[in-house]
Amino acid sequence: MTTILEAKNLCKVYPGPGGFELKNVGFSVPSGCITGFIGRNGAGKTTTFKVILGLSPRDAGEVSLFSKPMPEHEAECKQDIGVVFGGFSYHETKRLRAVTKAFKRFYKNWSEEKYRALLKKFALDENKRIKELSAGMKVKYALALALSHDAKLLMLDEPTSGLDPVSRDEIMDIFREFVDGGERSILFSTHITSDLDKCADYIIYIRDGAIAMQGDREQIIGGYRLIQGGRDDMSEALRAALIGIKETPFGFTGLIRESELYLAEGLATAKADIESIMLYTEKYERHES
Amino acid sequence: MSFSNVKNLIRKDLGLLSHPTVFLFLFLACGMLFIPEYPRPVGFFYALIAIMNIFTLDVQGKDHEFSGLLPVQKRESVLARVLTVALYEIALLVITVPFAVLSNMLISKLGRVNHAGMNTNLILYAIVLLGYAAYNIIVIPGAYHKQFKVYFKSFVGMLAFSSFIGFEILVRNLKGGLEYLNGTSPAALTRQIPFLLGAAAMFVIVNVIAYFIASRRYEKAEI
Repeated sequence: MTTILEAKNLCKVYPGPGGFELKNVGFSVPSGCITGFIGRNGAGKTTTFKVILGLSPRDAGEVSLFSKPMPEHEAECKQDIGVVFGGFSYHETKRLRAVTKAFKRFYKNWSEEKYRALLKKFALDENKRIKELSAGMKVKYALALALSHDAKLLMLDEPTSGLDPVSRDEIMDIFREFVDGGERSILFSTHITSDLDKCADYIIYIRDGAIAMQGDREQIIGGYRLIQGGRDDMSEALRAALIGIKETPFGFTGLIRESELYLAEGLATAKADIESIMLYTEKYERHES
Repeated sequence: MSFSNVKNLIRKDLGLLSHPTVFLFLFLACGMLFIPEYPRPVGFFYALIAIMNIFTLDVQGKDHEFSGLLPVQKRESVLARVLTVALYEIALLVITVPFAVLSNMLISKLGRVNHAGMNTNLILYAIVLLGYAAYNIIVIPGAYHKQFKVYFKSFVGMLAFSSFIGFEILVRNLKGGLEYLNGTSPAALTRQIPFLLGAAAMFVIVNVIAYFIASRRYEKAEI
């Protein structure tokens, strides 16, 4: 397994009121894996993507793609990257045929055969204008372009937002197919955590512009437990150990590290999933008093 | 810098950012040369609207983001845009040449004199080239600044172009052996060649400067 993308200590400050800061963001994306990049809206997912791709100049940090530093090897690296920002929202008044014609000239490994097959598979009509496509079709068109030039890395920013469950499931299948073989990878940002439960191997969790958690999905999920108890079951030690608590008039539910589960002996427990980890970390976070 | 990337970017600009006015104003520039009495640079002024539309379509179609994701360097994108604009301007000038020759023949046959402006000759082309250079140095670097919007910068660029109409008035009223600057005879045209070459050189230099300023801005831009 090789490292396809490596980001080290990325910093970016948007000053002013309502400003935002990316704080020492660092992670790597190995080959043959789907890496889920999760976080709330405004947590810094798109900014991180833009900084990696050179669309937004970074204040500090390093990015290397396929072991080559960016932006020194920008054009070379982008030959092997397919990027999907949401749906395809460029040149909306133009027909798919015209956009593809302009796009494909830049890629040495463009496969017309593969592109035609994907158009057929996704039921895309090249004579339609971009603005006539539904949200799902726009994502599929963006994927068709990205997959037709033999990209080694797909960077997808919220590709499944606004899609129905069937379309999302279809796209997840395409993702799995893409990484089969072990040489290609997907970095996939989303706030729809159920998509990651279906297909992600690795998880990177960004919160307020900083990486809050990252690692193997099974290890992350396995490292936490959801517990449930009545009002009388709460002790000071347990409260201190909980990462997040949701209290009701009848009791509480909370997220606890597997290593501290002994503090919740006798209480009902359940496996945590990515959504509950995110929810209890963000919404029901326990604040020290 | 890859020549192939720049060529493909120009083709992309022509394919995705060519507004119908690009062709409309080309015909207009040719047709207006046949108006016997008219301030000649005005026909060439309309090209600036077509160029502004290239940048407007860029913003509307989020082309800076589309191009930013392509396997090209940012400076290649800027160079391609400078060349797209400059090539359109030069193409417009070149295409109008046969129409200018024809209109000069017709107007002189009719015995008409252009009281509203100078004659169509190489000095006119030199003035228009300088006007285009002034427009480009304002609009091109302006298009790679902040929100990539060009409306106000285009307006300023058009004012800059219009200021060259002053030269036209000056040429029309020249006396004392400088009348050849408004002439259309073969001898006058021959003497006008150095002015045209000087304007062409200035056009190239100004566009190179526009490219360097725009490239530097684009490297720092938030796309």
